[in-house]
Amino acid sequence: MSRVIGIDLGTTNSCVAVVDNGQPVVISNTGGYKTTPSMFALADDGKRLVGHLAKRQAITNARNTVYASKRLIGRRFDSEEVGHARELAPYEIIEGPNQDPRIKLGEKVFTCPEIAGIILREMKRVAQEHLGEPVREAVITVPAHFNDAQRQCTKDAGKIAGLEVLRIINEPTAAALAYGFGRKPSDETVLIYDLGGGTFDVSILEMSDGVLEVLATAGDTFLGGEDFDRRVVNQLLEHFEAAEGIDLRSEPMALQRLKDAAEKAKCDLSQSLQTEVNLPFIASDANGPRHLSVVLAREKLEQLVGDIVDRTMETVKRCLSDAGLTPPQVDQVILVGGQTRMPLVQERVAEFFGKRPHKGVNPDEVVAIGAAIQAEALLSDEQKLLLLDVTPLSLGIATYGGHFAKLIERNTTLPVRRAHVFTTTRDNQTAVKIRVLQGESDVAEENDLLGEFILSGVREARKGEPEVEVSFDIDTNGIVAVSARDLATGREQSITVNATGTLSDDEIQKIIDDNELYEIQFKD
Amino acid sequence: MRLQGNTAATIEGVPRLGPDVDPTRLVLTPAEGYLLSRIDGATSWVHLRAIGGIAPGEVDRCLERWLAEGVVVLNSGNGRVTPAPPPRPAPPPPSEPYGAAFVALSDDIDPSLEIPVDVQQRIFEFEARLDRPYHEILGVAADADRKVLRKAYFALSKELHPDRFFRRNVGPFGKRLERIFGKIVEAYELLADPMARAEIERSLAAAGGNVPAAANVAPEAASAAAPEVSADAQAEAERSRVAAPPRTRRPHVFSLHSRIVRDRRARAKRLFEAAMASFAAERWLEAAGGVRLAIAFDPWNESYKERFGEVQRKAHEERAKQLLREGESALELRDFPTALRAFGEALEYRPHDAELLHRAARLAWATGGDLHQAKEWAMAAVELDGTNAAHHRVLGQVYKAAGLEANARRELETAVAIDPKDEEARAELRAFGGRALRWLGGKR
Repeated sequence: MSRVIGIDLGTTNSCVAVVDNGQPVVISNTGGYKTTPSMFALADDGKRLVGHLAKRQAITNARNTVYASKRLIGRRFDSEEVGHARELAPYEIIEGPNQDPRIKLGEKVFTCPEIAGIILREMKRVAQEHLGEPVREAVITVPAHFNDAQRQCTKDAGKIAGLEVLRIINEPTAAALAYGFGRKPSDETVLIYDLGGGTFDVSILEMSDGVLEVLATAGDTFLGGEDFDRRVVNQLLEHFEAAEGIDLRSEPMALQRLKDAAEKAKCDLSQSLQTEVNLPFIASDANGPRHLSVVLAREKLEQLVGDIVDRTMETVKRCLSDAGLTPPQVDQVILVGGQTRMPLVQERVAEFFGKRPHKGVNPDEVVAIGAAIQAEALLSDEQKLLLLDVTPLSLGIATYGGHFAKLIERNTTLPVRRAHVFTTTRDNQTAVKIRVLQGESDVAEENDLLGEFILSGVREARKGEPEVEVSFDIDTNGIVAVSARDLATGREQSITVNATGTLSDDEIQKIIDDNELYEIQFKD
Repeated sequence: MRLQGNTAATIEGVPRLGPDVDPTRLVLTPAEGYLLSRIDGATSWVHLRAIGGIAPGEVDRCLERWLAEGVVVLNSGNGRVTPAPPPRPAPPPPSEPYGAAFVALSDDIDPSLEIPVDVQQRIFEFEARLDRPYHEILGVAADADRKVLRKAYFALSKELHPDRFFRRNVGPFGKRLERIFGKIVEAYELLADPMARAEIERSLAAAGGNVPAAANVAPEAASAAAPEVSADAQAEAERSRVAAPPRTRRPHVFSLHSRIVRDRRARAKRLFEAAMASFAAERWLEAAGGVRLAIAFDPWNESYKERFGEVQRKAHEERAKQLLREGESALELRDFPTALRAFGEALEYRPHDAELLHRAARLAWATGGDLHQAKEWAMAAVELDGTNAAHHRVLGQVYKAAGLEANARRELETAVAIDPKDEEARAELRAFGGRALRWLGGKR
């Protein structure tokens, strides 16, 4: 049996872990780092670079370097989030044939699952090098609030990387698994505050005797460490414009340098009370080269991002209310994601719960560790650990008048199956159109459209007579399947819900074949 | 299981009240009173554990104590000991109106599945009780608090969650587990929610009385059960009066319109009859579809479920044959992917066909298919028939293709040892030469 790895596929960094002799370990890459930047670049000579290599040349090759593509995966091209990214990203984002965003580097166009697949392949390579044996299977984590399309795309990415994805699990849940691992079996209610590079999730779990039950989960799609960076970048841009009269917004290379500097300054300020940003030769005009040099205080940073941190606490409150709990009923608060190193975040959380957050998990590694633990738990014969997760989003269909009828409420324990009987609205109608949606709004249009299908071959009858039973399944990966059958004839109709942005099997196979050319192998 | 001594014989047995025992003189808790009332000289120990309302461990403890005290005696399961007439007219076990499902269905136990036979039995028994009141499904008292509920919920999840059998060949049990787990969640969530629970208790109170069994969702079933039960309930009340006030055991009645139930049942009956006609005409697949549908319409009718196993077996055989034919003709057309897919699917119905496993593995290997899958098949073939050199050879070839040289060598050498004339295996071995290979360099 080959080994199964756990991969935290992050917005900014990815991490891989495995359970070795019963102990979860994080695997370092060849550079000795435990995390690998989720970056991919196409060099001038057509070489493909991943991870640290891609990051190192990002400044000089900004247009052909992809970062934070996780923010795009499984989304529609016309969504707000893709709009954001198109404004800010130095690389070109174009519309694909399935209304999905694709990334154009030079002449080559990449889908988002493909980029994610390349990063996953790199993580697989890191693991293989460490283990000295081929790896074929993985548990991959996604933000808890990821919808069906985003999960599907992540699964496709795994396929592209040559990995069988045993399970997609939620990042905060993985963190809880890592926290609970090897702990004495006592009853505990824990809250996971997961502020990553591009996503924010809160989950509340009850743990008891090897069972972890997710009570509720809530997330904010538009919130992450990168938003903190963006605020700092804007501050630097304004400062520079005021001091030098030059607007750097249209200079991709300068922007990239600013972005790196902002991230570094932000991290420094978690340790010290002030830091210096020095970017010599950031621009030049008729009067010669210009330099950016400014001192940034922690206080200033906190002032810049205070409202973002406040927003996270709103999500925390919503999650608590969903779980039917009050802050004192939470036994432990666990901070996950690099951004939680920020003292302001820790203070706000401590203030809200009236207790210090739990120390002792590494916020960058804990998610990958949890994924590895879940892989082990699924495959081992001893049933030491069981995870009961929930669906983060309500699932339903659009009904007459543009309303959203929820068939499975959010925070329902998985796996779940709900069947409903539908009928026709006109005499002799032989086809029914069903639009499957995911989200919380009562207005159909405001939710994510997972897909729509037409159920045809319904027996001709007066309106309201035919009975078509449609079943909605959400499996333990959080992935939705829909099936229908005509109750009169018993005929099952196979339905594929083609979520926008997901790839067909043929497309995936083509990408796999293409990528094979670039596959690096160990030399004998 | 807590039983000591000759466990198997004990648990097979059928307890009855000992001679000269006057139950009214015992001091019992309500739960014990209830259990005692279920002892009728016909219901076996196993079934007493499965009846619900009392945790199986608790049942064992009580029965063991009563055995020691002579309150009950045991008839052996095979009925050779003439059962003494029970002290009172035996009330039917609570689930009787819908058939003793766990007895009939246990024919479906399949030792070839990767799920222990006792667990299969447990799953059948659990499934047969899914229409019982929620607290019985969870195996807790009707007035259990949230902590008790949660403990039961977690314990049952750990036992019956589909993940427990992740990647194992569980055949039809996969669907059963999903259904069971869904019901466990439903029971827990409703009972743990004070509003829903109040609603449930209100409808119980409205139904009144001491009705032991009723469907959670089927009022018709509940009312059908009522007349038989009330007599039983009286007897029970009499018996347990001495010990404590009677336990409240009421049905859950939900507002599912009885006309709908009637219509569904009528339709189920038509479907079932049509399916039986198909069955007689040997159109197995059609018949299986029809019975499945009938069960979906009328899940309370156990006779449909009883027939389903047989019909489905036939349908599976038929489907496997179809797939094999598909595979063969695809092979002739040299359409290897299709052939592989057909064989692979056929194997789902015939997981123990060594010849088929062997062919599928060889085909996958020879056409550059999924090596992981090929390995699984080849290993299964070796496991089923390890005396066949060809099985070892293919496994060796798959290992070799995957770069696992030591394993490949071992298998190929085994093949040659069994059949020295296996030239293909010899050639493969020669190709290794004396050079020690490693998997793509391995760890350095």
